[in-house]
Amino acid sequence: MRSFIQKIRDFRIIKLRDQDAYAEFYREEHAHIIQFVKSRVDRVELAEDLANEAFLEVWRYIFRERQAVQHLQALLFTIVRRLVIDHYRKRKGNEVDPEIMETVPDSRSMLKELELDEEAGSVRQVIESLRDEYREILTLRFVDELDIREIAPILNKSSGAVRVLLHRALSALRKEIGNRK
Amino acid sequence: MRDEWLLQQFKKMNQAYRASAPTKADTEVAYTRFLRSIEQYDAATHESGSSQSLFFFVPQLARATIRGAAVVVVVVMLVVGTGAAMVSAFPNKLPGDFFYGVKLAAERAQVSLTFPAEGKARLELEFAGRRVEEMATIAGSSITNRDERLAEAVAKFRSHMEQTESQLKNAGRAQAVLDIAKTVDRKSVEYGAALERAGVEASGAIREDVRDAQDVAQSASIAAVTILLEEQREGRISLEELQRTVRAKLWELESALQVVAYRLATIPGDAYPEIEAVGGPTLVSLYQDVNTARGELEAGKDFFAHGGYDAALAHYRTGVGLLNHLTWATTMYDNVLAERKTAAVVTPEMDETESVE
Repeated sequence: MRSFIQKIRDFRIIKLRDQDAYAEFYREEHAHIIQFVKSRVDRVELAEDLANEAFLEVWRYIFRERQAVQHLQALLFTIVRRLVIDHYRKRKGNEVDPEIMETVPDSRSMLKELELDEEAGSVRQVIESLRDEYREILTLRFVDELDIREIAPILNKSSGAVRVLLHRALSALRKEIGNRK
Repeated sequence: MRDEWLLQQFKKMNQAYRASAPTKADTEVAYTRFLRSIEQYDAATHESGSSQSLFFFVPQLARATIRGAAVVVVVVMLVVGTGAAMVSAFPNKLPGDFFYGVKLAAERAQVSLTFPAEGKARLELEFAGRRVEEMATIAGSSITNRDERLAEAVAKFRSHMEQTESQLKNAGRAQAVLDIAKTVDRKSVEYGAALERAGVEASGAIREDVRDAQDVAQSASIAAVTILLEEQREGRISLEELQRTVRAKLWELESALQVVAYRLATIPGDAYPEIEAVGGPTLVSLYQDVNTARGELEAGKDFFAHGGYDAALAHYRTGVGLLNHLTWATTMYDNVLAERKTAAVVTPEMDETESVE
Protein backbone atom coordinates (compact mmCIF):
# COMPACT_ATOMS: atom_id res chain seq x y z
CA MET A 1 0.00 0.00 0.00
CA ARG A 2 1.32 3.50 -0.92
CA SER A 3 2.12 5.69 2.06
CA PHE A 4 0.53 9.08 2.60
CA ILE A 5 3.75 10.83 1.51
CA GLN A 6 3.95 8.71 -1.64
CA LYS A 7 0.34 9.53 -2.45
CA ILE A 8 1.06 13.25 -2.05
CA ARG A 9 4.05 12.89 -4.37
CA ASP A 10 1.94 10.98 -6.90
CA PHE A 11 -0.55 13.83 -6.75
CA ARG A 12 2.23 16.38 -7.45
CA ILE A 13 3.20 14.37 -10.53
CA ILE A 14 -0.24 13.55 -11.85
CA LYS A 15 -2.06 16.81 -11.19
CA LEU A 16 0.65 19.47 -10.87
CA ARG A 17 3.01 17.87 -13.45
CA ASP A 18 5.91 18.45 -11.07
CA GLN A 19 9.18 17.23 -12.67
CA ASP A 20 11.07 17.25 -9.36
CA ALA A 21 8.47 14.94 -7.88
CA TYR A 22 8.95 12.64 -10.88
CA ALA A 23 12.72 12.56 -10.18
CA GLU A 24 11.93 11.48 -6.59
CA PHE A 25 9.50 8.87 -7.91
CA TYR A 26 12.17 7.58 -10.32
CA ARG A 27 14.80 7.25 -7.58
CA GLU A 28 12.38 5.41 -5.31
CA GLU A 29 10.91 3.03 -7.87
CA HIS A 30 14.04 2.34 -9.96
CA ALA A 31 15.34 -0.56 -7.88
CA HIS A 32 11.87 -2.02 -7.58
CA ILE A 33 11.17 -1.88 -11.31
CA ILE A 34 14.61 -3.24 -12.22
CA GLN A 35 14.02 -6.20 -9.92
CA PHE A 36 10.57 -6.70 -11.41
CA VAL A 37 12.01 -6.86 -14.94
CA LYS A 38 15.05 -8.91 -13.90
CA SER A 39 12.78 -11.63 -12.59
CA ARG A 40 11.23 -11.86 -16.05
CA VAL A 41 14.10 -11.52 -18.53
CA ASP A 42 17.45 -13.18 -18.89
CA ARG A 43 19.91 -10.24 -19.13
CA VAL A 44 20.68 -7.32 -16.81
CA GLU A 45 21.26 -4.90 -19.75
CA LEU A 46 17.90 -5.80 -21.21
CA ALA A 47 16.23 -5.24 -17.84
CA GLU A 48 17.82 -1.78 -17.65
CA ASP A 49 16.74 -0.89 -21.20
CA LEU A 50 13.15 -1.94 -20.58
CA ALA A 51 12.99 -0.11 -17.23
CA ASN A 52 14.35 3.07 -18.85
CA GLU A 53 11.80 2.77 -21.65
CA ALA A 54 8.98 2.31 -19.13
CA PHE A 55 9.97 5.38 -17.10
CA LEU A 56 10.24 7.38 -20.34
CA GLU A 57 6.82 6.22 -21.51
CA VAL A 58 5.17 7.19 -18.20
CA TRP A 59 6.95 10.57 -18.30
CA ARG A 60 5.83 11.19 -21.90
CA TYR A 61 2.28 10.17 -21.01
CA ILE A 62 2.08 12.65 -18.12
CA PHE A 63 4.34 15.56 -19.09
CA ARG A 64 4.03 15.67 -22.88
CA GLU A 65 0.67 14.14 -23.71
CA ARG A 66 -0.84 15.40 -20.44
CA GLN A 67 -3.02 12.32 -20.09
CA ALA A 68 -5.10 11.70 -16.98
CA VAL A 69 -3.52 9.05 -14.76
CA GLN A 70 -5.06 7.50 -11.68
CA HIS A 71 -2.50 5.09 -10.25
CA LEU A 72 1.05 6.08 -11.11
CA GLN A 73 2.85 3.01 -9.79
CA ALA A 74 0.32 0.67 -11.38
CA LEU A 75 0.78 2.49 -14.70
CA LEU A 76 4.55 2.03 -14.51
CA PHE A 77 4.25 -1.70 -13.75
CA THR A 78 1.59 -2.19 -16.43
CA ILE A 79 3.80 -0.52 -19.04
CA VAL A 80 6.93 -2.43 -18.10
CA ARG A 81 4.98 -5.69 -18.08
CA ARG A 82 3.69 -4.89 -21.57
CA LEU A 83 7.24 -4.05 -22.73
CA VAL A 84 8.46 -7.43 -21.48
CA ILE A 85 5.61 -9.19 -23.30
CA ASP A 86 6.42 -7.20 -26.48
CA HIS A 87 10.06 -8.20 -26.15
CA TYR A 88 9.17 -11.89 -26.03
CA ARG A 89 6.73 -11.46 -28.88
CA LYS A 90 9.38 -9.81 -31.08
CA ARG A 91 11.83 -12.55 -30.20
CA LYS A 92 9.31 -15.11 -31.39
CA GLY A 93 9.36 -13.43 -34.83
CA ASN A 94 6.03 -11.64 -34.48
CA GLU A 95 4.27 -14.91 -33.89
CA VAL A 96 1.23 -14.27 -31.69
CA ASP A 97 1.29 -16.82 -28.90
CA PRO A 98 -1.91 -16.60 -26.83
CA GLU A 99 -0.05 -17.70 -23.72
CA ILE A 100 2.47 -14.87 -24.08
CA MET A 101 -0.38 -12.42 -24.67
CA GLU A 102 -1.82 -13.28 -21.28
CA THR A 103 1.17 -13.70 -19.00
CA VAL A 104 4.84 -12.92 -18.74
CA PRO A 105 6.92 -16.03 -19.37
CA ASP A 106 9.91 -16.41 -17.11
CA SER A 107 11.31 -19.74 -18.16
CA ARG A 108 14.72 -18.08 -18.56
CA SER A 109 14.21 -15.49 -15.87
CA MET A 110 16.93 -14.24 -13.56
CA LEU A 111 14.93 -15.61 -10.64
CA LYS A 112 16.96 -18.73 -11.40
CA GLU A 113 20.15 -16.83 -10.61
CA LEU A 114 19.19 -16.14 -7.00
CA GLU A 115 21.41 -17.79 -4.43
CA LEU A 116 19.03 -19.81 -2.30
CA ASP A 117 19.38 -22.64 0.20
CA GLU A 118 18.01 -26.10 -0.57
CA GLU A 119 14.50 -25.52 0.83
CA ALA A 120 13.87 -22.17 -0.84
CA GLY A 121 15.48 -23.50 -4.03
CA SER A 122 13.03 -26.39 -4.12
CA VAL A 123 10.06 -23.99 -3.65
CA ARG A 124 11.40 -21.88 -6.52
CA GLN A 125 11.58 -24.99 -8.71
CA VAL A 126 7.99 -25.85 -7.90
CA ILE A 127 6.89 -22.27 -8.65
CA GLU A 128 8.61 -22.50 -12.03
CA SER A 129 6.69 -25.68 -12.82
CA LEU A 130 3.28 -24.04 -12.16
CA ARG A 131 0.97 -22.50 -14.77
CA ASP A 132 2.12 -19.08 -16.02
CA GLU A 133 -0.67 -17.14 -14.33
CA TYR A 134 0.01 -18.83 -10.98
CA ARG A 135 3.73 -18.23 -11.32
CA GLU A 136 3.20 -14.59 -12.15
CA ILE A 137 0.83 -13.84 -9.28
CA LEU A 138 3.06 -15.61 -6.75
CA THR A 139 6.05 -13.59 -7.97
CA LEU A 140 4.12 -10.32 -7.85
CA ARG A 141 2.77 -10.97 -4.36
CA PHE A 142 5.70 -12.59 -2.57
CA VAL A 143 8.84 -11.71 -4.50
CA ASP A 144 7.92 -8.20 -5.69
CA GLU A 145 5.92 -7.77 -2.45
CA LEU A 146 3.01 -5.90 -4.05
CA ASP A 147 -0.32 -6.00 -2.26
CA ILE A 148 -3.63 -7.11 -3.77
CA ARG A 149 -4.78 -3.59 -4.63
CA GLU A 150 -1.49 -2.87 -6.39
CA ILE A 151 -1.57 -6.14 -8.34
CA ALA A 152 -5.19 -5.72 -9.53
CA PRO A 153 -4.60 -2.90 -12.07
CA ILE A 154 -1.35 -4.50 -13.28
CA LEU A 155 -3.17 -7.72 -14.19
CA ASN A 156 -6.30 -5.80 -15.19
CA LYS A 157 -8.44 -7.79 -12.74
CA SER A 158 -10.63 -6.85 -9.78
CA SER A 159 -9.15 -7.18 -6.28
CA GLY A 160 -11.56 -10.04 -5.66
CA ALA A 161 -10.39 -11.90 -8.76
CA VAL A 162 -6.75 -11.36 -7.71
CA ARG A 163 -7.47 -12.76 -4.24
CA VAL A 164 -9.10 -15.84 -5.70
CA LEU A 165 -6.27 -16.36 -8.21
CA LEU A 166 -3.70 -15.97 -5.44
CA HIS A 167 -5.42 -18.53 -3.25
CA ARG A 168 -5.65 -20.94 -6.16
CA ALA A 169 -1.97 -20.42 -6.93
CA LEU A 170 -1.04 -21.04 -3.29
CA SER A 171 -3.21 -24.10 -3.18
CA ALA A 172 -1.58 -25.46 -6.36
CA LEU A 173 1.84 -24.70 -4.90
CA ARG A 174 1.07 -26.50 -1.63
CA LYS A 175 -0.32 -29.49 -3.51
CA GLU A 176 2.70 -29.72 -5.83
CA ILE A 177 5.14 -29.43 -2.89
CA GLY A 178 3.16 -32.14 -1.07
CA ASN A 179 3.37 -34.41 -4.14
CA ARG A 180 7.11 -33.99 -4.43
CA LYS A 181 7.78 -34.80 -0.75
CA MET B 1 1.97 -28.40 4.92
CA ARG B 2 2.40 -25.46 7.21
CA ASP B 3 1.96 -22.00 5.73
CA GLU B 4 4.63 -20.62 8.06
CA TRP B 5 7.25 -22.76 6.38
CA LEU B 6 6.14 -21.62 2.96
CA LEU B 7 6.17 -17.97 4.02
CA GLN B 8 9.70 -18.46 5.31
CA GLN B 9 10.81 -19.77 1.92
CA PHE B 10 9.17 -16.81 0.20
CA LYS B 11 10.96 -14.52 2.61
CA LYS B 12 14.30 -16.11 1.73
CA MET B 13 13.55 -15.66 -1.97
CA ASN B 14 12.60 -12.05 -1.38
CA GLN B 15 15.79 -11.40 0.61
CA ALA B 16 17.97 -12.94 -2.09
CA TYR B 17 16.03 -10.94 -4.66
CA ARG B 18 16.54 -7.70 -2.74
CA ALA B 19 20.24 -8.45 -2.20
CA SER B 20 20.69 -8.37 -5.97
CA ALA B 21 18.92 -4.96 -6.25
CA PRO B 22 20.76 -2.02 -7.85
CA THR B 23 22.61 0.34 -5.51
CA LYS B 24 21.93 4.07 -5.17
CA ALA B 25 24.90 4.77 -7.43
CA ASP B 26 23.40 2.47 -10.11
CA THR B 27 20.12 4.37 -9.80
CA GLU B 28 21.90 7.72 -10.28
CA VAL B 29 23.65 6.39 -13.42
CA ALA B 30 20.31 5.14 -14.71
CA TYR B 31 18.66 8.49 -13.92
CA THR B 32 21.32 10.36 -15.92
CA ARG B 33 20.61 8.02 -18.79
CA PHE B 34 16.89 8.65 -18.38
CA LEU B 35 17.46 12.44 -18.59
CA ARG B 36 19.40 11.90 -21.84
CA SER B 37 16.48 9.86 -23.18
CA ILE B 38 14.14 12.76 -22.41
CA GLU B 39 16.40 15.19 -24.30
CA GLN B 40 16.55 12.81 -27.26
CA TYR B 41 12.78 12.40 -27.21
CA ASP B 42 12.19 16.18 -27.15
CA ALA B 43 14.74 16.75 -29.91
CA ALA B 44 13.11 14.07 -32.06
CA THR B 45 9.60 15.47 -31.61
CA HIS B 46 10.75 19.03 -32.47
CA GLU B 47 12.57 17.79 -35.56
CA SER B 48 9.53 15.92 -36.76
CA GLY B 49 7.89 19.40 -36.82
CA SER B 50 4.53 18.61 -35.40
CA SER B 51 1.92 20.90 -36.95
CA GLN B 52 1.77 24.22 -35.11
CA SER B 53 -1.45 25.36 -33.51
CA LEU B 54 -3.29 28.34 -35.05
CA PHE B 55 -3.10 29.93 -31.61
CA PHE B 56 0.67 29.46 -31.26
CA PHE B 57 1.02 33.05 -30.00
CA VAL B 58 -1.14 32.25 -26.94
CA PRO B 59 1.03 30.85 -24.11
CA GLN B 60 0.46 27.19 -23.19
CA LEU B 61 -0.79 28.01 -19.69
CA ALA B 62 -3.26 30.60 -20.97
CA ARG B 63 -4.58 28.11 -23.53
CA ALA B 64 -5.17 25.53 -20.81
CA THR B 65 -6.99 28.15 -18.73
CA ILE B 66 -9.19 29.19 -21.66
CA ARG B 67 -9.98 25.53 -22.37
CA GLY B 68 -10.86 24.96 -18.71
CA ALA B 69 -13.07 28.06 -18.62
CA ALA B 70 -14.89 26.95 -21.77
CA VAL B 71 -15.58 23.53 -20.24
CA VAL B 72 -16.94 25.17 -17.07
CA VAL B 73 -19.28 27.43 -19.09
CA VAL B 74 -20.63 24.51 -21.08
CA VAL B 75 -21.16 22.45 -17.93
CA VAL B 76 -22.96 25.37 -16.22
CA MET B 77 -25.25 25.76 -19.20
CA LEU B 78 -25.99 22.06 -19.28
CA VAL B 79 -26.71 21.86 -15.56
CA VAL B 80 -28.80 25.01 -15.41
CA GLY B 81 -30.58 24.25 -18.65
CA THR B 82 -31.44 20.59 -18.38
CA GLY B 83 -29.51 18.63 -15.78
CA ALA B 84 -31.07 20.03 -12.61
CA ALA B 85 -34.57 19.72 -14.03
CA MET B 86 -33.94 16.11 -15.04
CA VAL B 87 -32.55 15.18 -11.63
CA SER B 88 -35.47 16.67 -9.76
CA ALA B 89 -37.75 14.77 -12.13
CA PHE B 90 -36.02 11.42 -11.52
CA PRO B 91 -34.70 11.39 -7.95
CA ASN B 92 -35.58 7.76 -7.29
CA LYS B 93 -34.07 6.19 -10.37
CA LEU B 94 -32.05 3.05 -9.68
CA PRO B 95 -29.00 1.60 -11.48
CA GLY B 96 -30.15 -0.05 -14.70
CA ASP B 97 -33.07 2.40 -15.13
CA PHE B 98 -33.21 4.41 -18.32
CA PHE B 99 -32.74 7.82 -16.67
CA TYR B 100 -30.21 6.72 -14.08
CA GLY B 101 -27.36 7.94 -16.31
CA VAL B 102 -28.90 11.42 -16.34
CA LYS B 103 -29.01 11.47 -12.55
CA LEU B 104 -25.32 10.49 -12.38
CA ALA B 105 -24.32 13.02 -15.04
CA ALA B 106 -25.98 15.82 -13.08
CA GLU B 107 -24.20 14.69 -9.91
CA ARG B 108 -20.87 14.72 -11.75
CA ALA B 109 -21.58 18.22 -13.05
CA GLN B 110 -22.44 19.37 -9.53
CA VAL B 111 -19.07 18.09 -8.31
CA SER B 112 -17.22 19.80 -11.18
CA LEU B 113 -18.87 23.11 -10.30
CA THR B 114 -17.95 22.95 -6.63
CA PHE B 115 -14.51 24.40 -6.10
CA PRO B 116 -12.99 24.04 -2.70
CA ALA B 117 -11.78 20.43 -2.40
CA GLU B 118 -13.63 20.01 0.92
CA GLY B 119 -16.89 20.91 -0.86
CA LYS B 120 -16.18 18.24 -3.49
CA ALA B 121 -15.41 15.73 -0.72
CA ARG B 122 -18.73 16.55 0.99
CA LEU B 123 -20.66 16.06 -2.25
CA GLU B 124 -18.90 12.79 -3.12
CA LEU B 125 -19.70 11.52 0.37
CA GLU B 126 -23.33 12.53 -0.03
CA PHE B 127 -23.54 10.73 -3.38
CA ALA B 128 -21.91 7.65 -1.84
CA GLY B 129 -24.80 7.76 0.66
CA ARG B 130 -27.28 7.83 -2.22
CA ARG B 131 -25.65 4.73 -3.71
CA VAL B 132 -25.99 3.00 -0.34
CA GLU B 133 -29.71 3.84 -0.30
CA GLU B 134 -30.02 2.48 -3.84
CA MET B 135 -28.24 -0.72 -2.77
CA ALA B 136 -30.65 -1.16 0.14
CA THR B 137 -33.67 -0.62 -2.15
CA ILE B 138 -32.36 -3.11 -4.73
CA ALA B 139 -31.28 -5.70 -2.15
CA GLY B 140 -34.71 -5.66 -0.49
CA SER B 141 -36.66 -6.02 -3.75
CA SER B 142 -37.30 -8.67 -6.39
CA ILE B 143 -36.50 -6.25 -9.21
CA THR B 144 -35.26 -7.59 -12.59
CA ASN B 145 -31.46 -7.81 -13.14
CA ARG B 146 -31.04 -7.41 -9.39
CA ASP B 147 -27.43 -8.59 -9.34
CA GLU B 148 -26.32 -6.34 -12.20
CA ARG B 149 -28.02 -3.32 -10.63
CA LEU B 150 -26.48 -4.06 -7.26
CA ALA B 151 -23.03 -4.47 -8.84
CA GLU B 152 -23.38 -1.09 -10.56
CA ALA B 153 -24.41 0.67 -7.34
CA VAL B 154 -21.49 -0.95 -5.49
CA ALA B 155 -19.00 0.11 -8.19
CA LYS B 156 -20.31 3.69 -8.14
CA PHE B 157 -20.19 3.76 -4.32
CA ARG B 158 -16.58 2.67 -4.45
CA SER B 159 -15.69 5.39 -6.91
CA HIS B 160 -17.44 8.08 -4.77
CA MET B 161 -15.54 6.95 -1.66
CA GLU B 162 -12.22 6.96 -3.54
CA GLN B 163 -12.96 10.49 -4.71
CA THR B 164 -13.97 11.53 -1.18
CA GLU B 165 -10.64 10.30 0.15
CA SER B 166 -8.67 11.92 -2.64
CA GLN B 167 -10.48 15.30 -2.30
CA LEU B 168 -10.06 15.22 1.46
CA LYS B 169 -6.32 14.78 1.04
CA ASN B 170 -6.19 17.64 -1.47
CA ALA B 171 -8.10 20.02 0.77
CA GLY B 172 -6.29 22.73 2.67
CA ARG B 173 -6.46 23.01 6.43
CA ALA B 174 -9.52 24.89 7.63
CA GLN B 175 -12.42 24.36 9.99
CA ALA B 176 -14.53 23.14 7.07
CA VAL B 177 -11.99 20.38 6.36
CA LEU B 178 -12.01 19.31 9.99
CA ASP B 179 -15.80 19.06 9.93
CA ILE B 180 -15.82 17.06 6.74
CA ALA B 181 -13.05 14.75 8.02
CA LYS B 182 -15.19 13.96 11.07
CA THR B 183 -18.23 13.36 8.86
CA VAL B 184 -16.22 11.11 6.50
CA ASP B 185 -15.02 9.02 9.45
CA ARG B 186 -18.54 8.66 10.89
CA LYS B 187 -20.28 8.03 7.58
CA SER B 188 -17.64 5.55 6.32
CA VAL B 189 -18.36 3.30 9.30
CA GLU B 190 -22.10 3.68 8.75
CA TYR B 191 -21.79 2.91 5.02
CA GLY B 192 -19.52 -0.07 5.76
CA ALA B 193 -22.28 -1.58 7.93
CA ALA B 194 -24.90 -0.89 5.24
CA LEU B 195 -22.67 -2.59 2.67
CA GLU B 196 -22.36 -5.60 4.95
CA ARG B 197 -26.16 -5.88 5.01
CA ALA B 198 -26.39 -5.51 1.21
CA GLY B 199 -23.59 -8.09 0.83
CA VAL B 200 -25.58 -10.69 2.77
CA GLU B 201 -28.43 -10.32 0.26
CA ALA B 202 -26.12 -10.41 -2.75
CA SER B 203 -24.92 -13.38 -4.80
CA GLY B 204 -21.39 -14.76 -4.40
CA ALA B 205 -19.79 -12.79 -7.25
CA ILE B 206 -21.09 -9.44 -5.98
CA ARG B 207 -19.99 -10.13 -2.43
CA GLU B 208 -16.41 -9.82 -3.68
CA ASP B 209 -17.20 -6.34 -5.02
CA VAL B 210 -18.93 -5.45 -1.75
CA ARG B 211 -15.79 -6.46 0.16
CA ASP B 212 -13.66 -4.25 -2.10
CA ALA B 213 -16.05 -1.35 -1.55
CA GLN B 214 -15.82 -1.90 2.21
CA ASP B 215 -12.01 -1.76 1.95
CA VAL B 216 -12.30 1.59 0.20
CA ALA B 217 -14.74 2.96 2.81
CA GLN B 218 -12.33 1.94 5.56
CA SER B 219 -9.44 3.54 3.75
CA ALA B 220 -11.41 6.83 3.54
CA SER B 221 -12.16 6.60 7.24
CA ILE B 222 -8.46 6.08 8.07
CA ALA B 223 -7.51 9.05 5.87
CA ALA B 224 -10.03 11.18 7.77
CA VAL B 225 -8.63 10.16 11.15
CA THR B 226 -5.08 10.82 9.89
CA ILE B 227 -6.16 14.40 9.15
CA LEU B 228 -7.59 14.74 12.67
CA LEU B 229 -4.29 13.46 14.02
CA GLU B 230 -2.35 16.13 12.12
CA GLU B 231 -4.81 18.79 13.22
CA GLN B 232 -4.40 17.79 16.84
CA ARG B 233 -0.64 18.19 16.52
CA GLU B 234 -1.27 21.71 15.21
CA GLY B 235 -3.55 22.31 18.18
CA ARG B 236 -6.69 22.83 16.10
CA ILE B 237 -8.64 20.06 17.81
CA SER B 238 -8.53 18.92 21.39
CA LEU B 239 -6.66 15.84 22.56
CA GLU B 240 -9.89 14.45 24.05
CA GLU B 241 -11.61 14.56 20.70
CA LEU B 242 -8.73 12.75 18.99
CA GLN B 243 -8.67 10.15 21.77
CA ARG B 244 -12.41 9.58 21.37
CA THR B 245 -12.01 9.00 17.63
CA VAL B 246 -9.04 6.62 17.86
CA ARG B 247 -10.63 4.72 20.77
CA ALA B 248 -13.81 4.27 18.72
CA LYS B 249 -11.71 2.80 15.88
CA LEU B 250 -10.07 0.29 18.21
CA TRP B 251 -13.44 -0.72 19.69
CA GLU B 252 -14.82 -1.12 16.21
CA LEU B 253 -11.97 -3.50 15.33
CA GLU B 254 -12.35 -5.42 18.59
CA SER B 255 -16.06 -6.09 18.13
CA ALA B 256 -15.63 -6.96 14.43
CA LEU B 257 -12.89 -9.46 15.36
CA GLN B 258 -15.19 -11.06 17.92
CA VAL B 259 -17.89 -11.45 15.29
CA VAL B 260 -15.53 -12.97 12.75
CA ALA B 261 -14.00 -15.35 15.32
CA TYR B 262 -17.52 -16.49 16.25
CA ARG B 263 -18.40 -17.04 12.58
CA LEU B 264 -15.24 -19.11 12.11
CA ALA B 265 -16.05 -21.21 15.18
CA THR B 266 -19.53 -22.01 13.87
CA ILE B 267 -18.38 -23.28 10.47
CA PRO B 268 -18.72 -27.08 10.34
CA GLY B 269 -15.32 -28.79 10.26
CA ASP B 270 -16.07 -30.72 7.08
CA ALA B 271 -16.51 -27.47 5.09
CA TYR B 272 -12.81 -26.66 5.29
CA PRO B 273 -11.48 -29.33 2.88
CA GLU B 274 -14.09 -28.19 0.36
CA ILE B 275 -12.89 -24.60 0.55
CA GLU B 276 -9.23 -25.59 0.45
CA ALA B 277 -9.95 -27.66 -2.67
CA VAL B 278 -11.03 -24.51 -4.56
CA GLY B 279 -8.00 -22.56 -3.39
CA GLY B 280 -9.49 -21.03 -0.25
CA PRO B 281 -7.50 -20.36 2.91
CA THR B 282 -6.75 -23.19 5.34
CA LEU B 283 -8.28 -23.37 8.81
CA VAL B 284 -4.82 -22.99 10.36
CA SER B 285 -4.02 -19.86 8.35
CA LEU B 286 -7.38 -18.31 9.29
CA TYR B 287 -6.81 -18.82 13.00
CA GLN B 288 -3.28 -17.48 12.60
CA ASP B 289 -4.78 -14.38 10.98
CA VAL B 290 -7.24 -14.01 13.87
CA ASN B 291 -4.36 -14.18 16.34
CA THR B 292 -2.23 -11.73 14.36
CA ALA B 293 -5.17 -9.30 14.11
CA ARG B 294 -5.71 -9.60 17.87
CA GLY B 295 -2.00 -8.91 18.35
CA GLU B 296 -2.32 -5.78 16.22
CA LEU B 297 -5.33 -4.69 18.25
CA GLU B 298 -3.46 -5.21 21.53
CA ALA B 299 -0.44 -3.29 20.20
CA GLY B 300 -2.79 -0.51 19.09
CA LYS B 301 -4.34 -0.38 22.56
CA ASP B 302 -0.86 -0.27 24.15
CA PHE B 303 0.24 2.63 22.00
CA PHE B 304 -3.07 4.37 22.67
CA ALA B 305 -2.57 4.03 26.42
CA HIS B 306 0.86 5.65 26.09
CA GLY B 307 -0.26 8.47 23.82
CA GLY B 308 1.14 7.02 20.56
CA TYR B 309 -2.00 7.71 18.51
CA ASP B 310 -0.39 7.53 15.08
CA ALA B 311 1.20 4.16 15.95
CA ALA B 312 -2.16 3.00 17.37
CA LEU B 313 -3.77 3.97 14.07
CA ALA B 314 -1.08 2.13 12.08
CA HIS B 315 -1.77 -1.06 14.06
CA TYR B 316 -5.50 -0.53 13.60
CA ARG B 317 -4.91 -0.27 9.83
CA THR B 318 -3.00 -3.59 9.73
CA GLY B 319 -5.64 -5.21 11.94
CA VAL B 320 -8.41 -4.01 9.63
CA GLY B 321 -6.55 -5.42 6.61
CA LEU B 322 -6.49 -8.84 8.26
CA LEU B 323 -10.08 -8.48 9.36
CA ASN B 324 -11.17 -7.82 5.77
CA HIS B 325 -9.36 -10.94 4.64
CA LEU B 326 -11.04 -12.96 7.39
CA THR B 327 -14.47 -11.58 6.58
CA TRP B 328 -13.91 -12.43 2.93
CA ALA B 329 -12.86 -15.96 3.90
CA THR B 330 -15.96 -16.49 6.05
CA THR B 331 -18.04 -15.35 3.07
CA MET B 332 -16.48 -18.11 0.97
CA TYR B 333 -17.56 -20.59 3.64
CA ASP B 334 -21.05 -19.11 3.67
CA ASN B 335 -21.25 -19.71 -0.07
CA VAL B 336 -20.22 -23.36 0.33
CA LEU B 337 -22.78 -23.86 3.08
CA ALA B 338 -25.49 -22.19 0.98
CA GLU B 339 -24.64 -24.47 -1.97
CA ARG B 340 -24.89 -27.50 0.34
CA LYS B 341 -28.31 -26.38 1.50
CA THR B 342 -29.48 -26.11 -2.12
CA ALA B 343 -28.05 -29.55 -2.87
CA ALA B 344 -29.81 -30.97 0.21
CA VAL B 345 -33.14 -29.62 -1.05
CA VAL B 346 -32.60 -31.02 -4.56
CA THR B 347 -31.36 -34.50 -3.57
CA PRO B 348 -34.56 -35.89 -1.91
CA GLU B 349 -36.61 -34.92 -4.99
CA MET B 350 -34.16 -36.82 -7.18
CA ASP B 351 -34.44 -39.87 -4.92
CA GLU B 352 -38.20 -39.72 -5.21
CA THR B 353 -38.04 -39.60 -9.00
CA GLU B 354 -35.67 -42.54 -9.02
CA SER B 355 -38.01 -44.62 -6.82
CA VAL B 356 -40.97 -43.80 -9.10
CA GLU B 357 -39.00 -44.96 -12.12
